[in-house]
Amino acid sequence: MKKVLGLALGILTAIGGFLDIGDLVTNAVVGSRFGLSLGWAVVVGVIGICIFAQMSGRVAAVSGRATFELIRERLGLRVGVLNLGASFMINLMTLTAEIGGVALALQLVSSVSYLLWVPFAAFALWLVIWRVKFSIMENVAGLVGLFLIGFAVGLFLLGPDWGELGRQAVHGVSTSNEKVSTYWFYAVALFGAAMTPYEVFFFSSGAVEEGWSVKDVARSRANVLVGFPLGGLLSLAIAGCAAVVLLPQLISVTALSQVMLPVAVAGGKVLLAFIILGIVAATAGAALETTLSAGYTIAQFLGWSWGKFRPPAQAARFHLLMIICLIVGVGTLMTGVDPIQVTEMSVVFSALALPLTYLPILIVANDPEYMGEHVNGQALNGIALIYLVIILAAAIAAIPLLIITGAGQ
Amino acid sequence: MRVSMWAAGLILLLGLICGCSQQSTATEDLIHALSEAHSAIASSVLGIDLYDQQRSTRAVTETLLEDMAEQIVDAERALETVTIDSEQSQSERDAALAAIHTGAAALLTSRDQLQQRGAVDNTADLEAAGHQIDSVLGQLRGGQ
Repeated sequence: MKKVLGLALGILTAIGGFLDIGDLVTNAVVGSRFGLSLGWAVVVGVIGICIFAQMSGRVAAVSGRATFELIRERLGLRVGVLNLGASFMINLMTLTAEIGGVALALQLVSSVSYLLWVPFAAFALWLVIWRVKFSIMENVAGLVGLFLIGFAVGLFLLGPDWGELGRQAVHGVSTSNEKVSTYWFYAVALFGAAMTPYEVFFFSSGAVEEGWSVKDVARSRANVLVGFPLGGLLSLAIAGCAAVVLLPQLISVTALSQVMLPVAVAGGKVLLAFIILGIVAATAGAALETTLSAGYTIAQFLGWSWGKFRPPAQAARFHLLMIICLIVGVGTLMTGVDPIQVTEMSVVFSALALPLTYLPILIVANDPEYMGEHVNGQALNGIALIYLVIILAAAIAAIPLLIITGAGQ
Repeated sequence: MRVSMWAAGLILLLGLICGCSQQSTATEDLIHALSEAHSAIASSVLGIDLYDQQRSTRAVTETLLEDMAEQIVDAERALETVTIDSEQSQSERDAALAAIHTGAAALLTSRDQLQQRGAVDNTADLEAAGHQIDSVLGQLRGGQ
């Protein structure tokens, strides 16, 4: 019974923890401009993150060591630095976006400018990282993040023409004035949002934090293979709500407050309250994960003592690094840069860094020295290689599309 | 040597992409600004309606109007950089500017009313500005 409850908790937190500010914003923007015609990009991204997250979780469970420790050891300093540099910078950008997301969600509750919430949000995040146990932190954020199921409830309450939504998913939106390059820009952005690198670092390091071993591989796989696709369905529900309410009125989403309009239409103040609570939890959870991931990547690479399972005094550099990252995130936001634009940039640059993140994981997962009999099977390697081609294509296309479309304008 | 050649090639390629991406016409710029303004007005009207029906909170509606006011002011400012090369494009720009300006004024009034009194008198001005923007937008799209 305890095992079943543990499994259910893991799956629920994986669903609640799947969505972050990047998923929220990108799916709402895409839904309002392209309807569900880019739903396929979410599906492709979710399958990709499932493949590599379960691989990364298995590597950590079998070897007892997290991704970056192994990458440096297996691939050497030069490749390791390249991987670390790209991953860390993207992670820092994502962290900035997530802090901005928490502040924007708090503005929706209070109507006090998000800029005033930014330092408080960052301080609260630091306090949680400093004081709260890893399992409590992960489970509370994931479970409260489940309130985002309100988007799926909202979509049903809106009573959409399901046939029309299906047609949009298959044939696109006939009334769209958007250019082909903009369509592909957002395809890459959705793919990047679903496959954000920090999710894999956090998943792998979290496995070490919680002391997973070979016997936990099945549980880790279930968390990923059930939790993430259900999280992906919530992404589609966000796009669906925007497609039903905003697209017909030619309202294109540029602010988080606009994402609330379909919710209020569907379920009034009650649903609105659930969703805002869910957004605060999801963005705060993602901010905690990215802050920890920043510490994990550098500390694992440089061989520092790391982890929340150790008292802060025994992992001082790990904690100091996270504080610095939070300060950098706050400083960036306090310049007045639009958090939504930071979010959009972070998902596109995520796509750019994906090959550097996922290729090393694939190499380590195939190394019998670390994995023993738990190396990847042929079928998994086949799918992973196909994904590497997709990832490479997305990475190559990301910057040219960013420039050509003026960041999706 | 090989790395520097790769870097030079990459910079050249990005330069070419940047150069090609700056080719939008004055009409496209006007359409973009008007579309942004339309989106801001339509969002605000919907938000105020939901607030009047007690389906949304004051904080959410205030935040929405604040965001949309910023958006429409940005759209108006974007017209400053539109280059005019004929009498027709000048009249198109003037029409767009007038429509967006009317929308911005209506939106700012609604925002201030909500912040100061907790209610918006009515959305008639906003809706009228929305129609004006849609009309100019329709003419520009029709002429493309």
